[in-house]
Amino acid sequence: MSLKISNLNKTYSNGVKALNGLNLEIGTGMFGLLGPNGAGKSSLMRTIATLQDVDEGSIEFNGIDVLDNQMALREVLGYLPQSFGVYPKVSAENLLNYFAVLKGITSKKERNILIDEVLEIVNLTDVRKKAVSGYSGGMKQRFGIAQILLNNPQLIIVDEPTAGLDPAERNRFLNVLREVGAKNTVIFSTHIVEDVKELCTDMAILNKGTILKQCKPTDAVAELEGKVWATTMTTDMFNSMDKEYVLSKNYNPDNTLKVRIYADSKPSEHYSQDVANLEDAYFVHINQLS
Amino acid sequence: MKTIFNYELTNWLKDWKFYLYLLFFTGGAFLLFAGTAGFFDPVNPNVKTVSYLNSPFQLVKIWSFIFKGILFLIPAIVGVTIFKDFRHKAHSLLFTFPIKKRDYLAGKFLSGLSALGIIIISIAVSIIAAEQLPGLHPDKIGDIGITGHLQALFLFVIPNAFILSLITFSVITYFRNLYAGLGVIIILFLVGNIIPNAFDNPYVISLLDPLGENAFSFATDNWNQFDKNLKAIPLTTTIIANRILWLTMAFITGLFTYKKFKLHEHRSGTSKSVKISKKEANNNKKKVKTVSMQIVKGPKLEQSLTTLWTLSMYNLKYIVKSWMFYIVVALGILAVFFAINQVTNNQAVAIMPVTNVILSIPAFFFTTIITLLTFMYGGMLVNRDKTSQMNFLVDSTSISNTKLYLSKVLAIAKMQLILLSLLLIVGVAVQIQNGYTNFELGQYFFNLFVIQFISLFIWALTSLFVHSIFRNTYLGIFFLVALWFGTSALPEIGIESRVALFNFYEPLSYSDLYGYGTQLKGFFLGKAYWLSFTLLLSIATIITVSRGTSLNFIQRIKSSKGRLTMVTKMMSLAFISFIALTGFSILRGENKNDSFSSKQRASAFRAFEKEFSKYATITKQPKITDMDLSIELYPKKNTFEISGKYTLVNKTTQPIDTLLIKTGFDEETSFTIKAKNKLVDSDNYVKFSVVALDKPLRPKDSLTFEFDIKSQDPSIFDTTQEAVANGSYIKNEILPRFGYFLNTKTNEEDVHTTNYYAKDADLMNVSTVIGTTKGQKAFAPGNLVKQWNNNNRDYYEYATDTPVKNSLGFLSATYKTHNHNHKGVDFEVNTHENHEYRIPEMVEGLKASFDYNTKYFSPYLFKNANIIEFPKTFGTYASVNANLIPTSEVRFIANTDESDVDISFYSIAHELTHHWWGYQIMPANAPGAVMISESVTEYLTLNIYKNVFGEEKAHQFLKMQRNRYLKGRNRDTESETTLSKVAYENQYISYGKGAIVFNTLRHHIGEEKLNSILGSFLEEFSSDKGIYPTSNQLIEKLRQNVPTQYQYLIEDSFEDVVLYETSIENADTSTNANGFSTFIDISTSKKSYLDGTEEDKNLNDFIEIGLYNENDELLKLVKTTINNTQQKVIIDSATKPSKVVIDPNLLLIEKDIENNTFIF
Repeated sequence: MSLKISNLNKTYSNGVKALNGLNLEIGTGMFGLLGPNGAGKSSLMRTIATLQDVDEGSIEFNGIDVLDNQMALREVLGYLPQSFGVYPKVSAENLLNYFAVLKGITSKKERNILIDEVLEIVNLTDVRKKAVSGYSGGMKQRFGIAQILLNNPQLIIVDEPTAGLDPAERNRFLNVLREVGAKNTVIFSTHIVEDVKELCTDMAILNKGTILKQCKPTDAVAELEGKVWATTMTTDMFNSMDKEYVLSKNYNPDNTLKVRIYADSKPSEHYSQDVANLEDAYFVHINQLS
Repeated sequence: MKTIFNYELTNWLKDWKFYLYLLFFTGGAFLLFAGTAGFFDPVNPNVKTVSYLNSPFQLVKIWSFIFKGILFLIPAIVGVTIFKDFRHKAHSLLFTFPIKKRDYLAGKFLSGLSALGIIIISIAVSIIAAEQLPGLHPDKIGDIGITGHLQALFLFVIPNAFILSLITFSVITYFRNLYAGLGVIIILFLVGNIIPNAFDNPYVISLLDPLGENAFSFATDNWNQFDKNLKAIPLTTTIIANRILWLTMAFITGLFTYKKFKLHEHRSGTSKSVKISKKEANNNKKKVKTVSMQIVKGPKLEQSLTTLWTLSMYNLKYIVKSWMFYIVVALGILAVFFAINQVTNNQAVAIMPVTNVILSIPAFFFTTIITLLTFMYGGMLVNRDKTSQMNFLVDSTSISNTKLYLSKVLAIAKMQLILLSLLLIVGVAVQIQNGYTNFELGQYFFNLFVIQFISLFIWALTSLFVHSIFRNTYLGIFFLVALWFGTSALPEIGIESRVALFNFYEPLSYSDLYGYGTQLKGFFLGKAYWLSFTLLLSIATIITVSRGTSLNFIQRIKSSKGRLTMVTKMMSLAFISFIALTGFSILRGENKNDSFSSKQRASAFRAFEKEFSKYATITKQPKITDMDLSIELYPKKNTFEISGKYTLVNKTTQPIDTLLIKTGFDEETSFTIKAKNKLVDSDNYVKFSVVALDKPLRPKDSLTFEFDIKSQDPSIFDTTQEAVANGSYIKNEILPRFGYFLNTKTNEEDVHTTNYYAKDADLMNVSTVIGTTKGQKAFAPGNLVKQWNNNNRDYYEYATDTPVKNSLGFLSATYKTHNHNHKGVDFEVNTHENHEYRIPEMVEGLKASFDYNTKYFSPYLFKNANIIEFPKTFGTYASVNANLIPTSEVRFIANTDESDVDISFYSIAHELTHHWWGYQIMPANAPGAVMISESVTEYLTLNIYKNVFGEEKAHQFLKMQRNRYLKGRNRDTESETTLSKVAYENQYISYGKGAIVFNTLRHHIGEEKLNSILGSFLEEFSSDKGIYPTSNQLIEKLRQNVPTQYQYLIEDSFEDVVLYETSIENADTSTNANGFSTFIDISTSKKSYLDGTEEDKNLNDFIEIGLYNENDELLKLVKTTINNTQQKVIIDSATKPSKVVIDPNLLLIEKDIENNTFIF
């Protein structure tokens, strides 16, 4: 099972180049797509989900030419957009029933069994009769997963699903996603590095429409071993320093700054070596430091 | 507030949609006004009516039409101004700003209202501009000034715009739902429709109508054309009260919303968030599973159909399960119910609730509602995913575009079918309620689910197409309404072909005798054309669907190319060729029919008149004395053939050398004259020939004229055939006639030898052989001589034994016959088998008329009188053709139980009276001829009616005549003529006023006296003498015989147009020695309205005053002479009166009789 994306290009009518010769190959399992806001994540996700055209390039999933044969992909696709609404005043059960019909499940009996199952999986059985439009953010996202599961998809695309969720809801959501992602290809876009770390077996970092790095999260961290240095300084000092290799800065409670930088060797005596993490890797690649 | 106001108004002024609305309305109003004022049409010299379009009256009417469109604009502009905040969720951010509720709401409302105001002012300007166009018809534009515009705007348009805007704005703001605004408009439309039917009191009707249109009609109810051209709208209390009432209503609605509205995320009273239950919150450690189910998919087609059905049900539930739908449906049913009730229980002329009547009354109204709902729900379904932001979820599923589309089509079709079924249920319910049990379900089903549904379904496809193009519900609805209105306005600017008038078809007429007849072919052809057109649009809708991110229109067109599969290409090709095929057939049918279109006809007649008017001076023509006809009717083929022979006699004193021959307009006629002759001139379109006889026909000599007539094969759109499957009715107008037929006046010297009914015949002998399809019975004037069967066809031979006038009818159908013998005369009624309800009343009418007229005048001259039903598609009248009384279908389904006047009895009594007044005496062909025939007949019918039904019912009859006269004179667009000159078309004068003034004369001089005057007149001019009287001769006869004190009535009634206005200013009662004295202050005026002027006439008139007790019983009736406009009258009575009434017997003609009553 693999998704192969070659040389995708897309320029919007306002001149923004959303996808810029993008190449990517994704196998089974959870795939994390990391990138800052405006990197082109959603454009890529929508394109794979057959909801947007490209100017150039090709996408292939399990022998399906996605751009040419959208319907065939939709058969095996589950998509959760970055934000979505639902028909007002319609219950989860009812709405899932509608999606099940849209996804081609014609038998009412089968739909009912299926809906019971997916509601159980996403843990919404208790509120199945309630209108989805009144759900909290996390419940709504889990509902989004429920509708994905209806057609037993081989390719699942979830676009920034954890944005705006409280920690408990985020956990609950990721647990659900982990279960369903085991056997299929799941593309998971986020700007939260933690999500990828906890969930993904493979990942890519995307910025300005191009893949900057594709690797396993553990490899990404391993590559930086010994190259991450940390120190504490005042704001004034930080302002006067050369910021090119700064990976991150965090305020301490006493208003000093904890600064991490990327360097092959110890930059100065104020710095001490620190354990590299995925966030470091993310910034290294976004800022193209290596 | 200023900031919000300015911001929103600027927003509108930058929005292209605003300019689209502006352009549509100003352009539409401009074209409408210019078109109605004759800018596009050639001036028709025959229309002499002066009707100023820029008069206050007409401008209010024009604005009232335009306002129907503005209604839909109100939610689109005033509603959208606030709703967009809710839709774009801008309100959650906006409400956190330091703005006051008052400023927010007022700013939004006033800016929307101002944008609407700009459009309204622009419309007014464009109408004024259209008024200045050169080349408008001079009779359409009066030099009136700006009053009309100002009155229309400030009394109606602007207040209405304000009222409806405020109500709509309030409702949208309260519910935070834009569709609710449209719902309000539809609901107000329905309420406006229900009120006039549900209430009798004109004040109530005037008050309850939110647009004030009823108040306006009520205020101008008594206006004639002169008033309509010149008068300003009076500020009556009802108009002012209506305006105040609805402004108050609007303010109350606004205030309510203002009080309830909070600058909150959700509207007050709705808290929708779902709390996570404890169980669920603690449950997240539970082992999650994956989907275990394996979906087994069945056969593909079956699967597709199941999916389609399920989705459509889902969509249907969305439409149907809403309070708005319920309210609209409930009000719609109520409206239909009242509308039917209005006809079936109408006091003046009630009709039985037969199925075709039930279906025809609400059909237009109800389909209007269904069409509007189709426009609205089409938009809601198309934009639903996007509006609720669920489109990405839906778009990424594997459902095909076709299925998604078809599920919406199906849902709307189902909604339409549900509503049509409701109409069926209401119809049957009304029938049951009226005790009518002949439920013709087949007719219901065919009318509702075939005829009505096809048109609605075409609208469903159109609605989905338009909405999928615009992707903005309001813009889409607006476009659809514009298309709908625009189509009905296209003929105004000269576009009349069915291939251009979208989904348009004239309403089908239906007769119980033969159903829809040949109209169906044309109807289905037209519908097939538009259906295939909209099916092509459906393909376009499907392939231009954009899933996922929005594309602009051009991108959608581009992306659709990829979806043009072989199948869609083939289907499109098939539809295109079908459109071409049906379109071609329509055009060919129309071309064939076009020669009969009114426009073509008018221009042909103009050309004819120019060319042939030189023959108008030839007035001496022979008369037909004998007629032999052989008619072959082919009802199933809608054709007939006639061959015939006339004997023509020169009854003049001079030789005749030229024959002017007019033959049937729609038929092919060939003729031979049995004398040497030469065709001098002819017009093949008008079917007029001028023949010169080699040897002039000398006085008293005769000539044989033979002819053959063949009806044309009807074109597919021709709906005027004489021969129909059941109920054919051929009249003598299609037979060859003599004389220059466009001469309406007869020369002074020939007047007394030319009767009003036929210039080319006095009384004549007619014999007819008429053949028809087997099983039908055929009728012709005279007695049945022989009947036989030949070649599987039925033949009947008729011959007159008493000569008849040239006013003939030939009929054929399957009838049920009822026979009655009355004093040696056979009374026969031939009717459709389901139309037997009113036969007893009709026979009573024959008997009563027979008895009355034979008592006062002369014997009945035929052996029988035969009432024969003809389809209502030929007309709603009854007529006399010798011994036959052809009577329209509608007279057979009159509901006499519900009417004030027994119309079945009355119309038959009237027709038989014409045997004397219209046959035994025939008026000369001169102005006022119908005073002798119709006025006298209507007066005699009133007496007959009184003899049978009593004084009280006769009073109702008189009231009906009074209404007929007063209403008719308001409608008359020319200045009212006197009875002495009344023309045929002014029945409100000949029937209405005629009955009243003869009745007044009778009241004063006595029935015996008046009838004896009439009787001696009838004897003097009996038609067998061939000398015909004019109305002036009858008036002279009356003048000679009426006592001196009543002489003023002769001039007032017949030679003048006189209306009284009397009222009781005050009244008082006191006791005297013998009982009571009542003092009454009477104000009287008598005015003459001759030739459109208004002039006071001197008073020296008899007026009756009645005193009544509390039980409404007459205590005393006094006839008094009134000479002063203000006069005190004292009446003594034994008991105490509680009511005084001036002219209780309706002897005077008065517009307002409400003020004739004084109650103590």
